Amino acid sequence: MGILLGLVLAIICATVLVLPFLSARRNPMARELDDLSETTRQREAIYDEIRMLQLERDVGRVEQPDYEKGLHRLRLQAAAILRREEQLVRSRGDRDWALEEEVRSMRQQLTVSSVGQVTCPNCSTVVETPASECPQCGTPLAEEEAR
Amino acid sequence: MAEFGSIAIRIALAMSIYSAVGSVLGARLGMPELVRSARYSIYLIALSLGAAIVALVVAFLSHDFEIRYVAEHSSRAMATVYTWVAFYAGNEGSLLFLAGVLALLSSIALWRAPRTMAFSLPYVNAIMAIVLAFFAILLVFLADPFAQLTFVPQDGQGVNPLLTHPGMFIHPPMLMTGLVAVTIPFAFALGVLVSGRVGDEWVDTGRVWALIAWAVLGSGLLLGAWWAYTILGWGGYWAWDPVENAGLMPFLGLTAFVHSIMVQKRRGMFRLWNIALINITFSLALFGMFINRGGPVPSVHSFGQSTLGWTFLIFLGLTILGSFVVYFVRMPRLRASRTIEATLSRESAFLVNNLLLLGVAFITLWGVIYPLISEIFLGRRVTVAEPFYNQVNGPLLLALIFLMGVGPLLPWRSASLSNIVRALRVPLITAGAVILLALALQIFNPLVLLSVGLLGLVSGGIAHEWVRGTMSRHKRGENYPLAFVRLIAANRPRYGGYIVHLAVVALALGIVGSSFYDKQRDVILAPGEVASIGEYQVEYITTDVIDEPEFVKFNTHFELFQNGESLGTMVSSRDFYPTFRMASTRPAILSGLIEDVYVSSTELLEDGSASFRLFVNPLVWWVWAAGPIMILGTLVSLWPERRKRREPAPRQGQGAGSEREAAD
Repeated sequence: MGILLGLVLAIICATVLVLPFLSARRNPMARELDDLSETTRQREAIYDEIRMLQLERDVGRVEQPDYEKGLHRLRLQAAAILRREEQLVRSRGDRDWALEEEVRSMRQQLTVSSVGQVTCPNCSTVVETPASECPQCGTPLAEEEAR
Repeated sequence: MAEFGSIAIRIALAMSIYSAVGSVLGARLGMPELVRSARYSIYLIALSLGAAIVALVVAFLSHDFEIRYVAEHSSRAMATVYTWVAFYAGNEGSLLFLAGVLALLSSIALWRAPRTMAFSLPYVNAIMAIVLAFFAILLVFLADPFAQLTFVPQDGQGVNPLLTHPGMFIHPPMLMTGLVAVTIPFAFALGVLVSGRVGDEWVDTGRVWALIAWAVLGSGLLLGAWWAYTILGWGGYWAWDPVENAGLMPFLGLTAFVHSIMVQKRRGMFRLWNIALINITFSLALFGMFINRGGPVPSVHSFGQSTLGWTFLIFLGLTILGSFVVYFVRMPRLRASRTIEATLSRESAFLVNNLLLLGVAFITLWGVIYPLISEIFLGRRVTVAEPFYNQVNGPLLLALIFLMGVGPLLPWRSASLSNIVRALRVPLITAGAVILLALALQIFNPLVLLSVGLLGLVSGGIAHEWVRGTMSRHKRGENYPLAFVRLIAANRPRYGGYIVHLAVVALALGIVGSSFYDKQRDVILAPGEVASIGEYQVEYITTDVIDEPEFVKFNTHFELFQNGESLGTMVSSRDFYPTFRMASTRPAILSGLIEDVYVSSTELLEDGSASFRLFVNPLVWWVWAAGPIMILGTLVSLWPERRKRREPAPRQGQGAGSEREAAD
């Protein structure tokens, strides 16, 4: 009886171990997803830090000028992480992203015509037109607009 | 059942080797199906070991004395309820328990691991599998719980009488689970390092598992103290016994780790330090298991002794070597981008807290191994006792309590002196008030005054912050209870930590009270005679002698009075087990918030008189109260926060949108 039960256990184990090979599906995006999740984690960490700073201000542990200084620095960090995250999403060739990009590009064209400013699609710096490239990151603006 | 159990542990061994090799090969060769199969094998180890555990329990219940372990640790007269205790009463069973728990925890950890860790998870899996393989090797080759006797005895030897105590149902499992659970944060930290990643993706998971291990180990230690207090009959709860120390050292390491990991989580600092810390903690946990499994130092837990300890020592050596080789290879890439900005900051407080905790851990380690060191270098075995630990660790623990009060009041990055003075005003006033109260109660011992002052400082700081935060929320329209609950919920790691700090205050209060103001008296009383201790009087009535098949029970009846007023009749018992040549004592304890009256009857003399050991232990109740408070604090800390989903892409300038979101 004991040996029989052991045999059943061994068969269950062998079957479960083989299962992944029978339904093998390679996922070449794993590494990229991993990178994206890391930036997501970083973003959440910054949000946490902002929440904590607000809490510290609320309980009177941090004075208003220090709070504002800290908040400004954290906002800049968050913005940088968001940009990195969006770059990663874009590099995944996500269809939704492409669509969003197209809409954004059309909006930018509208902005150019109305107020004479353009937002760099790479680093989000607002650049006054006419300008051939972004003074912040060097992304060619004319090419982006043309697209 | 013996055959089934044997097959199950052998399958677990095969699975663990497959999992260790398969996950690394799968990652290296880019074969996700092999990685997945290796991960499944961790689940299968849990299944196989679970089956082996069930097989052993069934063997105990069916009195299958053909299995040596069952014959050695149970008998037909043993109450069925003690089957669970008998299960881990010896090495073989406790190793099976350790392996089963580790397999279960590893399965949950891998199943719940975040997607951020997809790249390094195979290496985490491999490390868990290696530790599991170590346990499986022990079970198959050195401590087989299903080994059979060549004959079937009529009855077994029975369970160790010291283990037949309610505390034993939960203290050893908690302690063992806590020790082995350290493997999980260690595997995450080292696995990420081996994979070549040096980021912070393991920090959240590592913190959660370290907190779980910390709470379980802490509860196990406290339950052990309760067991010692209520069954050993010596009136105390902590004796710096090597096995107690073996659990305490990794607990201190974990305490340091759960603090410093917050610095990495919040500020991206202490990366090197945290990896080193978890390596040290895991090594201390293995050392704890080594001491438990028959290490070379004498202990009240000698029932677990065997030569298995040395295999733990070898594994410990290999672990220290392996983990620190990886650490040093990755060191150049591990350096944090940020450094401590100011001496007066929360980061600095965390660092000093870590150093103090490790200081206490290493002093304790030194005390544990000193008998061996003295034997090697002095030629004679010198055992260090309670005074050594109290004198050396006492001041460090006081410094830790001071930091526990001041550290959380400091802001991150840097604090100005005016900031600190303002933050410390209320805690210092509370400390002063507590000291004045102590003086009014005629407490003049400077060490006690310092201790209670520091406890007042910690409590005052916590209460002040909670009151101020609640008032602030109340001004925004929330009622007081809601404001308080929402304040706690707004920053669970922090306020959960504060609750744990309150548990430490309760624990320290109990330790201070019972260490400095305990009273003890040994007396011999004839029936009708009265002995006094403090404001209590004990009048001996009689002793019943009850012959049971496995033991002889001596029930000593006495009446307790306080200032002449009867508090009732109480019974203290002492059981003698001829088979084990062992006695177990159940003292009579009248426990209260202020003090415990503890009466232990030690011997019934031929002339009908009985010897008693009387104690009055102040504030011990607070030591036990610390346990539930600590668990509550840990649960609050671990309770996950609901994340807000990101808003859709901004309509206008992205940069401005990003900043808006960051400010939410």
